[in-house]
Amino acid sequence: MIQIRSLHVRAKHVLLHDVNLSLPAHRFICLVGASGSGKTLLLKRLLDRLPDGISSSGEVISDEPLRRGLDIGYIPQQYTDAFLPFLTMRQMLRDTFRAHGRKINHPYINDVLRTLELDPTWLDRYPAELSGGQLQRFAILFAVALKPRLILADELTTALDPVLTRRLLDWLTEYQHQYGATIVFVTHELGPALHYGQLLVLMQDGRIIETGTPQMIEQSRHPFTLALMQAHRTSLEERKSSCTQSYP
Amino acid sequence: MKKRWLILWGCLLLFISYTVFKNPFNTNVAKRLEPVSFEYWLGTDGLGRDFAARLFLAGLISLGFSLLTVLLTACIGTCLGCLAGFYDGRLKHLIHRLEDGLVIFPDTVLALVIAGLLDASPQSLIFAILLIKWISYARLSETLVTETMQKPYVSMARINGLTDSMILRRHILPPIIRQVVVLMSLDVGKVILFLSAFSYIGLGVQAPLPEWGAMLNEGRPYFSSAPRLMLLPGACIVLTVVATMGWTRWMKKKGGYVNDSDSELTRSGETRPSA
Amino acid sequence: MHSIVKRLLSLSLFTLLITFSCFVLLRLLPGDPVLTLLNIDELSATPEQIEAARRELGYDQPMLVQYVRWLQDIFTLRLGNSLQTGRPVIEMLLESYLVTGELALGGLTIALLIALPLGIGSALTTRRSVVRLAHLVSMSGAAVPGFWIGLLLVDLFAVRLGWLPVMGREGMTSLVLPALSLGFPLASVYIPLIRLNLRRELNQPYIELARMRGISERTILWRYALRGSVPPVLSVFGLTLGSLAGGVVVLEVLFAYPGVGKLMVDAILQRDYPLIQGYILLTTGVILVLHQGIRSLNWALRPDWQKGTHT
Repeated sequence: MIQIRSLHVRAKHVLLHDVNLSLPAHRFICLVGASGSGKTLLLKRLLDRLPDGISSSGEVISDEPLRRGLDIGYIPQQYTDAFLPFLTMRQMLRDTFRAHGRKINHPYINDVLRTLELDPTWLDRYPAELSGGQLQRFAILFAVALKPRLILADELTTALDPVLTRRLLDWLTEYQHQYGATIVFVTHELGPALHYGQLLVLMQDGRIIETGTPQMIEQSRHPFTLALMQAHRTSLEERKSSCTQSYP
Repeated sequence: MKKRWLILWGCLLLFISYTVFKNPFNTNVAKRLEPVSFEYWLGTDGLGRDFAARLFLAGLISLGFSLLTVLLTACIGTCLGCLAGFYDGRLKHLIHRLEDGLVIFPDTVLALVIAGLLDASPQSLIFAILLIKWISYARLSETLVTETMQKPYVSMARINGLTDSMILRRHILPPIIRQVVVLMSLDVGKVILFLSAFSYIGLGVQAPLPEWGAMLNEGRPYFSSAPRLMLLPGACIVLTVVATMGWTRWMKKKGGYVNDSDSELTRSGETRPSA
Repeated sequence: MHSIVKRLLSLSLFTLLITFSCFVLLRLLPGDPVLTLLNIDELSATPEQIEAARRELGYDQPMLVQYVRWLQDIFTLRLGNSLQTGRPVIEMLLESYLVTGELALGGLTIALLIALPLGIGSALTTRRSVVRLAHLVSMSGAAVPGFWIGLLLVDLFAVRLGWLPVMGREGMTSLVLPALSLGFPLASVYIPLIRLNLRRELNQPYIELARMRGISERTILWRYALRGSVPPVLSVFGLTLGSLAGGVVVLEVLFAYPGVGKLMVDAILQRDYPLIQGYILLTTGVILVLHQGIRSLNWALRPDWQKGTHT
């Protein structure tokens, strides 16, 4: 359970304004907002990795430690540049484990490889030899390698085809249930948030507009939420009419 | 701005007339190692020659030499590079082979070799420098040409019916020239250093022509009695090279960033790499 | 394996080309090679004597035969004798290579001692003073001619203070001044090079993501960022080694250090063609080997380059 109190983040302009948020444990939380709404920044604050030149005030209180890699797993948006080009996946995995004083947990990793549909022989490949989809799944593998109880997923939906995205989100939900993890999923699409999320946090221009369960959001009367829902429904219509995969 | 130029030209004229009047070649053993005076503004050297005049003439020679060499090298290198970038096929291949073959030769070695095969003169040095430095210009212009040709506005121009030469002139050449000029200004300094080093050991500008490097050699025996004979030519070299560096930095700021691996630091006080 | 075979083939072809052009070039030199080799002029020998010498040295054979004979000599390292000393060229060259190697090692050590701390330090620090210092050192090293530093150092420490020897090669003390004069300008190239590359690496997205996985800053610096920034520095290092292999000409003359550079300057001034020829061949060979070594090192550091089409 994480409490964010009066978080202000600013560089030259105010980037996050007076954010007060409670992130309950074991939930699938979705941060929804357009680019620039500050959602990625919030993630970075949780990881204590705000970029240089950015200052913040306020507090982030957690009842459990939040060590990067061990307690928090981060799935980046740009998975293509996420890996060291001169190391094999296996070497990077070993480094990740070693950084926390452990050895590779083979049974667990093999299990995750299987569920992510990753061939174990690919571990000996260099990132340049793997495709985008493979890299994305490896990014997830690395994020969950040490069984963290908090997973931060940054815009998983953007760069991949809808089928793969859906499978990955299903996988995340599985992980959440199996290990009692908390998922914080950042996206600009309302659709997956409504479908997978248990708690939605809508953001705009560095502020939290509204929070609630999917049902609450769908029935909200807030102008921003309404606009968002309207846009979402329109895109659903468009998708239905062009016969592509969509969320129910 | 105007005033500064006027002062500069005035000084130049002054130095030129001084040099012409006080013959830098006249040896006058009776008046050797004279100190600074009104007659000899910087005194005389070991052979009684006017030191200031020699210094100034040496400067003209150094600058002339390097400007000529760099211009020649830049022209040839850029031409070949543009050709390689423009026309695919055997020409490009040949140029690449030439580059690969010559790039591994270090400048001092080649200069020695050519001086050894031809003779020890400034011409051999020019030839040696040419053989090595053209490659940087060729590679730079080839990369730029290839990059620019891929840009959409070039294909648009082609569709609109512009001839090859017009495309070349208006779209491709300007960015190349900007970057080539930056590279040239940096190279001028390097060539001056190179020339002075080789003249010092006697393989560059030959006597009786003065050259800063050679003058360092001449002034060495008199270090205790007349240290200026060894300090001033060296200082001149340093100042000139620093001036070229400043010139280069000014040009880089004006536009065009040259992506070479030994580019200097652009600004001090930069913060840590952003996370 | 296939690529190594291809490499060897192109290397040998290249060497053949170089040797042939050398051979042709030397034959095209002004003056009769026989006369030059015998170091006589046309007046002091009769035509019959010259003809006899010509036949003896094999200069009357067709070009191709001469070339093959010449190649044989080269590969067995029979490079002839110097016109100045009469000693075998190969002996003189090897001796002086050792000396130059000594000097190069000294200079490189100094250069690394200056460039590594300043380069790495200025890449990591936030303090402007460090960055400015690095910049200052780099700029002074680049603008000041190395031999001028040498001259000043000699006249200060050797002549005036008498702490160090003026010239020549007698033990470690005589290495100090030349190494300093060599190392300082050398460092000026590497400081911005190291700094630029290290910062570029540290700014790469995968570095930040490694942090997100909890990898320590120490690992990130020493095992990731430095390793990634080495290849471009190594390439420049290869060029540096190449130019050092040819002899540190000016400094060797200045300090009368009997290395390859000094040897060659004398050879050029005296027109000692066998020595010049031997130098060209040997140095080319050394440079080629050095470059291949650097390339292999780079491949070892970046095994992922072998998988792609990286050169």
